[in-house]
Amino acid sequence: MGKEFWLRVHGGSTHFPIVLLGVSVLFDVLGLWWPDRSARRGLHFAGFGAALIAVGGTFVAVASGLLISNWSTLGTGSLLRHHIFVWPVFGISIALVVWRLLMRERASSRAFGIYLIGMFAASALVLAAGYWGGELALAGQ
Amino acid sequence: MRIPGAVKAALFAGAIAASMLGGTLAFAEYMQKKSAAQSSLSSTNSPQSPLVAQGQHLFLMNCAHCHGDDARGDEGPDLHGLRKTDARLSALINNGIKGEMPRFNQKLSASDVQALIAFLNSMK
Repeated sequence: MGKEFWLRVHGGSTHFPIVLLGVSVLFDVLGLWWPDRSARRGLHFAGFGAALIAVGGTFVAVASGLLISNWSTLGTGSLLRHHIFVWPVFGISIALVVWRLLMRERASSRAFGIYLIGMFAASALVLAAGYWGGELALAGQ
Repeated sequence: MRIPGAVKAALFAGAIAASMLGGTLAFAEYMQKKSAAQSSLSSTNSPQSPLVAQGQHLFLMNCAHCHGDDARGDEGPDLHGLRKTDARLSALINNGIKGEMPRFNQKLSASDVQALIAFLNSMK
């Protein structure tokens, strides 16, 4: 499997965290305010599911990204800017999803609020990483 | 002092995330060094065409101070395995990248640029 293949895998997989981290925050925030109790549980379940898929996509995106950049973890120019946002997203999203897996529904509203702030930060960082990734892709055309 | 469950979980999750992030970065660093060693070994064993040799000379004179003597990247990016067409490479060398790379259209002739491209393509 050559670079061409991994470039396509990277292009596909990066869109999972780009979209689903924000969707996860949206579902969880709706789950806090929705009037119906069973709908609230469903929204939180969807929020957690979206976060899990987003982190799964992050692993594939990081692995394929390292393969296409000759294992460069920082680089220069747009690649450096891309990586400045990628690595924090990778760490933060894993930490938050593992925390939620451990806590399930036992988290206090304060702890869950901190989780949501972290997820919101991760979703903003992944958008910035995606922007610089897009700059890299356009520079190759 | 009793540590709340949420804090314990946060510490555990942080440790997992840090080890995964650190492991990924360390593995990438190891693979980068391994691939650089293999690449330099294969480049010393393979014969060069005169055009590629000229390109390498031009590279060392004009580009190496940013891209590194081995073109593995320094201030400028790694130039191994580029996925750009010759026309695109020519445009990049001639026109540069605003704020990132100087233009060389005043300094290098068209044949110089072709030699540089041949050298860059030889590093795939």
